[in-house]
Amino acid sequence: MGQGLEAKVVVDAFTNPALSHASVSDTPNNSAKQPLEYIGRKQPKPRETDRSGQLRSPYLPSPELVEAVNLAIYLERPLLLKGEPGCGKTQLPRAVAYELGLPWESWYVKSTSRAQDGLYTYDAVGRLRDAQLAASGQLTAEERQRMADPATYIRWGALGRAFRNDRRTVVLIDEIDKADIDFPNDLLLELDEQRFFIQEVEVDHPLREVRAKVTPIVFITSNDEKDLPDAFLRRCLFHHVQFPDRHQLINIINAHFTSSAQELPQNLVQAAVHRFMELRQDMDAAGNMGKKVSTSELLDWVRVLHRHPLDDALAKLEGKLPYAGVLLKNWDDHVRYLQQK
Amino acid sequence: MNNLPLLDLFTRLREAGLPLGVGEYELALEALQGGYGVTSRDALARLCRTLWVKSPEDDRIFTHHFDQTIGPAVLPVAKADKLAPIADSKMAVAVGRMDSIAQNPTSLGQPTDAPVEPSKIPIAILVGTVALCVTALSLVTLTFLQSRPPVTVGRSAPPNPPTRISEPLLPPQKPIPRKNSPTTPKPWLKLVPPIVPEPVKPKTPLPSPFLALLGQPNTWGVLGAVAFLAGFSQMKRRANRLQQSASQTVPPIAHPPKPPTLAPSSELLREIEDEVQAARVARGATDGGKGEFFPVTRRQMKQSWRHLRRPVREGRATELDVEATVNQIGRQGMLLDPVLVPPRVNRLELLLLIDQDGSMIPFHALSERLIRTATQEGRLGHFSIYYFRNCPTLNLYRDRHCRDAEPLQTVLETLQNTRTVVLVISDAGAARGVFNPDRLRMTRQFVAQLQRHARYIAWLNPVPRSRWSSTKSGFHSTTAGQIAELVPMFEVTRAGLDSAIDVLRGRYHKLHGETS
Repeated sequence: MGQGLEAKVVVDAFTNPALSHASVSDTPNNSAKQPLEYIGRKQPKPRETDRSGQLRSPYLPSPELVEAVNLAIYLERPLLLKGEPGCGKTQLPRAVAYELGLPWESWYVKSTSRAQDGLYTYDAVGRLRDAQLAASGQLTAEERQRMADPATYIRWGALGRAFRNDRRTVVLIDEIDKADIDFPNDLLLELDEQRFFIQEVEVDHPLREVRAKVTPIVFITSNDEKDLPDAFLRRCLFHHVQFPDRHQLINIINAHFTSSAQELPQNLVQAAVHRFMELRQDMDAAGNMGKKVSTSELLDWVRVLHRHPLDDALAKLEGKLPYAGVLLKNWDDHVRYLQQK
Repeated sequence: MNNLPLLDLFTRLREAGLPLGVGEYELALEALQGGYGVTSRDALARLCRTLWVKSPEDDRIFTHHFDQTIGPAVLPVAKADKLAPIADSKMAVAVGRMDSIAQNPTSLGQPTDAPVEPSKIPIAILVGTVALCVTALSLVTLTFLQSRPPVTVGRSAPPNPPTRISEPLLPPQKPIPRKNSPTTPKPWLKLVPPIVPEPVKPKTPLPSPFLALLGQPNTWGVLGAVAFLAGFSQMKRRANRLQQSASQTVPPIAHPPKPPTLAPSSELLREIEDEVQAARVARGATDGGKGEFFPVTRRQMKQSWRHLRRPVREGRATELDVEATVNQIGRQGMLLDPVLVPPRVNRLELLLLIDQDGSMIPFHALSERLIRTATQEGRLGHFSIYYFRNCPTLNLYRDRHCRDAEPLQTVLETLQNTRTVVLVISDAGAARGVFNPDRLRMTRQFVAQLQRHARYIAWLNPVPRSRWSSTKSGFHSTTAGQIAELVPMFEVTRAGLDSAIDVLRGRYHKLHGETS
């Protein structure tokens, strides 16, 4: 099917940054046609940071997840990710953007977010202020010129920036279920037709209609707080992100600790993951519908245990759950745990 | 273009109520052409899941239908190598049609003409046996069916949907191939894939003229079912003749042991059945009347609850009121400060009153579902549930077993009468279908009391409208019919639920029996 071949080319492109840059800049308008394939193996170097100075963390996706991502890229449809908190939904788009060398935009939805916020906001108050200043003659000629341009007051949102970008952009719409129930429906036209209108500018102005130059790769996460409307679900691909299994957890811990000064002893990792999985199973058995312990807590926990000498840490793991406060955030869980032991 | 891949699966999923449209089907074709999901059965399942399944509940429905159309899931380790070719070839038959559409044919494209490998032979013989049964018995039994129906075939054939047959067929039964292997002619082996009851119509020309006779798509399922059952009873008879104990081995044929990991549990199947049935009822299809009465699916209930809102601007002023700001500038001549207003929040308070009387027992699951969907979906300012028996008189109960009582007057006095709406779920005596003047009097009193404390009241009656709606005016037909003249009463259907919620939102509703 030739997929393997393309995949190899893509890998080559990334192992050689110069090549990757050349291939992208050569065909900026054509990059939708260019086969993109996510492999999920490229991990950042230790202490590598992104543009905003955030430390990049490694990401180890399951093969099923990689397949779903590639399907979404191929079919140019948004990928809806669900799964329990802490299974890595939000981290995925960043990892995809990093591996494919694409720009990325994130939009963290809040309960007060409106669909339009992701496209653009119009700074009406700023324009009003400028108008008043102009009326009282306090603006320079240059500022007056600027005021005449309607684009001055448009503040682009994540999707708006992605649509205007010449390169294919990875967009994360995080926790879409937090917003109002009409929110997903308000995004249908934009996600479907890849265009939107700016109501504030004149009808015949070139900025009136914004069309996506290249279809962005959209990831949407949901914590299932609210059901999403059918019409919206229809347009998305869906993947339920599974919590990593024992083997994957060990890999994740190892990947995260490659940067640390001392090597992490493998028997500590094994023992910690074992204890962690036990705790999760206990929570399951207790019919706990609340929050279960997740990967980030496991990482913190291992970090704390790692400060102790190895035999000390292993001995701690054998006995009462050490540093339970790192893992158990719920008083009910705590009480149940204490009752069990 | 008649033989589109996976169309049968897609249609089944649609019928089961998954939110799918033509676009989603085209998407699957596009992905298949792009080389996704063609490497194995699991890959195909993953592809369809990603494209068509949008929630864990849908996933169970999907797994059920996928197993039925494409073949059973992963096989027990011991039998895996024997059965894998069949499952694979079935999948290939389902997927293989895309060759006609796809530009680049895949390696899996031509399963029907593949030479039979030695490992396939037992299954092939088994299916060949069925082929024999089809040839011999379908004609015989079909002609005999009208005049003198044999008990075993005539009784059990119709209720079995033809697709179920594919499941019992697959696990090989030892006695069958040994007995029939000498009589099975080799050429039949070639017919293996078309004989397997395959929902996707085979496009390849049928190799035998006889099969061409049987090639009518509609008769296929019936013939398959009849032939299987006929052959099955034939074998049963033969086995009985040989040894008495052989009849004990018959049940495993009908219910083959399934792998524990992937076989849906009985609970799961019940849930799937429930979803499918609810979807069917919603679509107006008739049903045998088995199982629970669920005329509205969970999804539909949630959608209906969403409409129940009464947004009020409340809290801190954070939103810019552009119109008011412009007006103020117009008055003051310049912008001094913008006008801010509080955001809208839903302040509707819902009081749900649920009848727990004996006649309501069949509908407990329904009211439970209404409660659960309302808690999950309705973003109400306040939501309270109380239970009662027959008609609330002095007390309401906080628990569904009616133990934890609270005086009715106390409950009503705590309601905010400007924003509280009340939904009563009760059969109002319609299940018994008689006229009970005492009950009517009590209900009238209760409704009058309620109306003083609540803004709007609606009544959901799980009994169909025809049972309580009186057509003869002035005649006291049923208690429920009389109560419907006091309170807007609706049956529990999608339309009924929506109308009830419309009433709670303040839409005017003409009461039952009201003229003008």
